[in-house]
Amino acid sequence: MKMTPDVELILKVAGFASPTGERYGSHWEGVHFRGTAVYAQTEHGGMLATLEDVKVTCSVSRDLLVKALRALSKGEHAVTFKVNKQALVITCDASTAELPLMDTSSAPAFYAPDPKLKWHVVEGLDAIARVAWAVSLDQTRPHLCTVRLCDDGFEAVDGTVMSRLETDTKWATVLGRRVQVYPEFMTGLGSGRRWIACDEKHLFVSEDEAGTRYRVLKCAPDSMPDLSQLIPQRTPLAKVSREALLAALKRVKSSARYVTLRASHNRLAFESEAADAHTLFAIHDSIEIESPKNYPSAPINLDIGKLVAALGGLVDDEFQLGLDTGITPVVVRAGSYIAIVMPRRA
Amino acid sequence: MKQIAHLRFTAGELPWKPAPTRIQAQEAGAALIWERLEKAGWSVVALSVHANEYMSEGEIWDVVLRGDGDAMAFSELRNYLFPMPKG
Repeated sequence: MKMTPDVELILKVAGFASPTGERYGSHWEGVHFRGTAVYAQTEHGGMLATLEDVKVTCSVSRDLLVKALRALSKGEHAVTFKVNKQALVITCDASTAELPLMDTSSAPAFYAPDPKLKWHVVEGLDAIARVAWAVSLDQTRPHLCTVRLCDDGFEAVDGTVMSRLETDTKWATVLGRRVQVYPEFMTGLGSGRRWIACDEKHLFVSEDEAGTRYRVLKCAPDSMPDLSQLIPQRTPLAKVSREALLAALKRVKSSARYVTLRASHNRLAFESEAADAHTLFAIHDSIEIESPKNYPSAPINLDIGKLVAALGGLVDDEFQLGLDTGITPVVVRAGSYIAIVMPRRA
Repeated sequence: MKQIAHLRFTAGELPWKPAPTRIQAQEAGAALIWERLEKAGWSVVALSVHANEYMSEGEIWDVVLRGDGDAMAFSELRNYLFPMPKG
């Protein structure tokens, strides 16, 4: 597949527009070309990039644009863009796609950072993905749909899980205040140096110093509670291999949604049950762990998906798994990362 | 007497104290809230809590405080019960 940097960039930007038919207004479903700039945004954030060879002015549907570019960029030559009165015409070799122009008279312009805004160079912003799994998907609780950047690092919570990653960067000091942002606009950020700035309502993240490629994230009100009170302090911790645990959970997950963990000396056993109309499935499995003498043996029932998500934030194979009673939060801890998963009544 | 009708709390505002039953979780939650209010200097006559079994989400109803309690605004009560982190 031949894909020019411009096409790659347009596809990346298009990822920030709302898919057709979602809850946003139609102007959020568009990808907007303004000369050499291309941008897409929703009410929670967006991205702007400056293109090298493409210079057109129009707005088109995100879904149609993505489909057309993915199909045409399989050709031998570069993709070209032209606008006529009715359509954006994209051509590659002998193939052409004509995308109808959107009426974007009501579409807001892309939010430009104030030139006086102070930019800071940071690293490690992409690590936000390690905690983002714990944000709530419940749109009626918007303050829980965000990741908080604070002086300890990043943190997120919903009603039954929590995650926190301590970072070297003191984000609240750098930005002048704690900031809560919708993490979906940070996906695909990549590692390395980034330039960030913050005004009252937005966090700007630029991928280059010149700011030709930046994303803007609308900040939510700083209303997330103090999460440190959720972390159990006395839970006994055992050393566990993430790969071994994930493999066991994968075997169990094939038939059930919930698993019961039961620890014994240096061993962690899994039990799960699931049934359809004709058959009862029961899976028993176990892995080796390195547990302390006071490690509890009470059964603890968990949502497998949530435990797997919590393990997703780990970097190294070895981590500490904290189990207590069947109704106490389960702790996943490794270095600066900590996750909590609430057990379920069996 | 001062009565405060309704205060909703959400994930993380109180420590998660799951209990074998929802009723027990609510009782534990009520005791915690009672303690926080008394620490803040108010004399509590009664309160009731409706919460899930994790105490991760719920509502506080019918907080009755001894004395006039006029000095405490609704938002202040929230600050005492669910203190925000500093920073």
